[in-house]
Amino acid sequence: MFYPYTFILLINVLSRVEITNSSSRRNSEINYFQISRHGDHCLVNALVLADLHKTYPGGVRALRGLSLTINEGEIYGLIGPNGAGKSTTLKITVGLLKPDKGGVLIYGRSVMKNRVEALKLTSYVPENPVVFKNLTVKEFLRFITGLRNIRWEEIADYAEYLVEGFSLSEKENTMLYQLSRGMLQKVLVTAAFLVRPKLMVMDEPMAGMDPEAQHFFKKEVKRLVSSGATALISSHLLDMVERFCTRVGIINKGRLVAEGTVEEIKRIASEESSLEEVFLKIIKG
Amino acid sequence: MTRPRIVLHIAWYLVKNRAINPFLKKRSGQILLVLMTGLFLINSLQYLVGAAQSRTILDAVRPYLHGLGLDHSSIAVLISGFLIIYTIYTLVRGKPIYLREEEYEVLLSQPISLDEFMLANIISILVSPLVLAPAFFGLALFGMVFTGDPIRGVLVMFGGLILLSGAIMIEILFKLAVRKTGHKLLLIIMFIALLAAGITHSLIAGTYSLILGIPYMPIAASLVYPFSKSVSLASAIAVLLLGYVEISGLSLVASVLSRRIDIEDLSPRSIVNIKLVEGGVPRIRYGSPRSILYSYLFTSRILGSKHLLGLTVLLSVAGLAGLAAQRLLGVPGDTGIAFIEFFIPMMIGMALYSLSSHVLAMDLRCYWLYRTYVIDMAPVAGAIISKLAVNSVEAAAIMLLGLSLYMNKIRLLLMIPYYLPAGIAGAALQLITLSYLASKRQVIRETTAGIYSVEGLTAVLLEVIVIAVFMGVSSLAFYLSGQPLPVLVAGGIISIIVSYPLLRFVERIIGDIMTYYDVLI
Repeated sequence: MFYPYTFILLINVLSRVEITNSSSRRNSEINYFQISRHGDHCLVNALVLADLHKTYPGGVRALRGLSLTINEGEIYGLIGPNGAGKSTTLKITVGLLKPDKGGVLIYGRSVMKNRVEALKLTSYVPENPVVFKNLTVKEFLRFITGLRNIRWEEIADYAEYLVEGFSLSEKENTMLYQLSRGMLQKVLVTAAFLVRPKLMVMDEPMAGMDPEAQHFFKKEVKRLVSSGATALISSHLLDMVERFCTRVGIINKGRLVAEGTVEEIKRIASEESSLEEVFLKIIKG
Repeated sequence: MTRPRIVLHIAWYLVKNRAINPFLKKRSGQILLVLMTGLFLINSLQYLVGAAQSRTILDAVRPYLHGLGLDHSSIAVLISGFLIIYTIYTLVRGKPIYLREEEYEVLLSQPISLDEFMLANIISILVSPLVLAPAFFGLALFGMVFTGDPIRGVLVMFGGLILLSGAIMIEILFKLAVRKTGHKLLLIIMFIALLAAGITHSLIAGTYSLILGIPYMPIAASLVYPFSKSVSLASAIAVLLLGYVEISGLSLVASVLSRRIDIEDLSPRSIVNIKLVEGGVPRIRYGSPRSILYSYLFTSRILGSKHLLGLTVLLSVAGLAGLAAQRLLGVPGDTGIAFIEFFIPMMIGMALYSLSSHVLAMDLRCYWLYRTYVIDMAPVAGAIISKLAVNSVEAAAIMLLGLSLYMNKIRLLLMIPYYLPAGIAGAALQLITLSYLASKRQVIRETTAGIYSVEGLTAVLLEVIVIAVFMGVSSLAFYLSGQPLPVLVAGGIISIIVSYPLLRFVERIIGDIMTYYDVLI
């Protein structure tokens, strides 16, 4: 193991020579207070998205000044039609995309300026269940937890609990390419829970999951949130969002068009029926 | 600050995912491993007891190579020249570094810095040749059969892996260089100047100029030198080490450049696929199902501007290469011609093989869609076969243009139409086997995802047909090219006339299989 260490050391020395990119852009960052006052309570801002703009190379404007704040202990549901900008928002949140303008703060840490520190508090479940196909379930979980310096012995019991809860016990030594979409989704969600995040960012996390797993998923999210975590969930399952999320944001054409608890949104839309009908009314203007 | 523990953790799992598990934990990988190792050991044993042929393939090929003025160092120079062209191509494209989707979505959303990921990626590429070695005993076997020496066979295997890693590293390094320094044009000009200087010097001196070997000679020599008996084993090993040192050097520079890399410098491979699909969507007017299917599957691809541009470039390159070869080497003698007539069609056939696999994979991916919406599959079959056959004719045109100029035998161009009926027959054979297999396995009933690995593997095996057909027709073409001119012209016209009924006949048969077979069984 001598060679790789020497190699890394050499690179650290060599890289002190600055290489600048003349075309690199500086993102405008807005510093938000981490703690905001709400009546008599002090709310900790788990996530602040400030004035996000994103246009893809093809010219598609995915986000047009999206701002939202999620407080610690919330389960925030982000809903919107296809192409509204939900996945782009989530990818910018976890640093997979760079906004053209605006900033992201996770517990006051800027994802653009201090990516590693911000993401230490975060876990992410992508929209499509992409995994390292030639690893087994167990290897994959060890891989992800190892990236955060979490020793397996520390979380072995919790891992066992999650694996059992998602009915993955018999699949622990199965290669991931052999699993169905629903199973892969369970593996990704297990990894996201296992790292004990402060902020969970999940893009359609229950897609393809069986009812039993969906039940366990919701139970576990609630348990983690009650112990201080926060969840940002993007979903098309409006019934689930209505019953499960403590606050909802409706996004359309790259902007947040409505936000609040389900009851507040219903009041805004003057609708007494389901979130689905409120959603349709707001989206159609 | 880069964290070494994290870098090594990532590198270890990348190597595990890319190189170790596919061969140790997958059944197909295990079978391949056992097969290759077994064959290698049996052949090694044969060699040790002296039962192997004393005259190796290399002994047979050597006079032809010498006839062309090629020895181990000039072949290494040529490979280095190709690596320069590859560098220019990488610089011109200058696209982001593409990652596997899981590496992008899952790994980069973790609390690791981007340079930690790049460094781990580079280490995994450096280590992979060593880890992958057992899986590449096939290459060692090839080397051994070629040289008749098991040790040289193993060296050939490592040489091949070093060349492969070198090509990957060149791509990463120069993409990073373009992104981080912004001197794209300067780099392109530098490498084009180097290439031009090398070619000019070669033409003037009448030999392969060492200028072409300046940047990548150690990497190129790693593969070539173990083949040569005039290079001692110790020297071949030294060259291998030198090649590895060069890759390490390139890696070091790439690692330095990857500091403070931007997330937008990296892109998931799915984006490439989307761009491929976007680029390939043709304008289709309203018409009969047959005309729409032909328009989508055949006309839009064959007459697309990108395809026509590529064809024009390849024809120009072939023409120039033919002229340059004639200037450099002179018209080949009998042994040279015999070698060329075998070797060049084989190389072109192999290139055609990868093209037709790509075409089949892309078209049959939508098999389920055609089965759902198209009543008669005959036009689908016809359009795919037509496309593969035209590709085969295009490949022949490129090859024969180059060879006709090199060998001073312009009438070879009259042989191009001969490839059309043969191309149709070869493509039909491929498609009939694949569609039969897919139907037999009831793939269409069970999934909307297209073809599976069994079909994919069969497609690969079937490609032997493409190479064999192409080489067969080429032998015929070279043989017939000595016949009187009217005979050649008549043969060409007959080939074109015969092709149409042949196409309609095979498309009907295959169309029926694709439409009804799995419904009736």
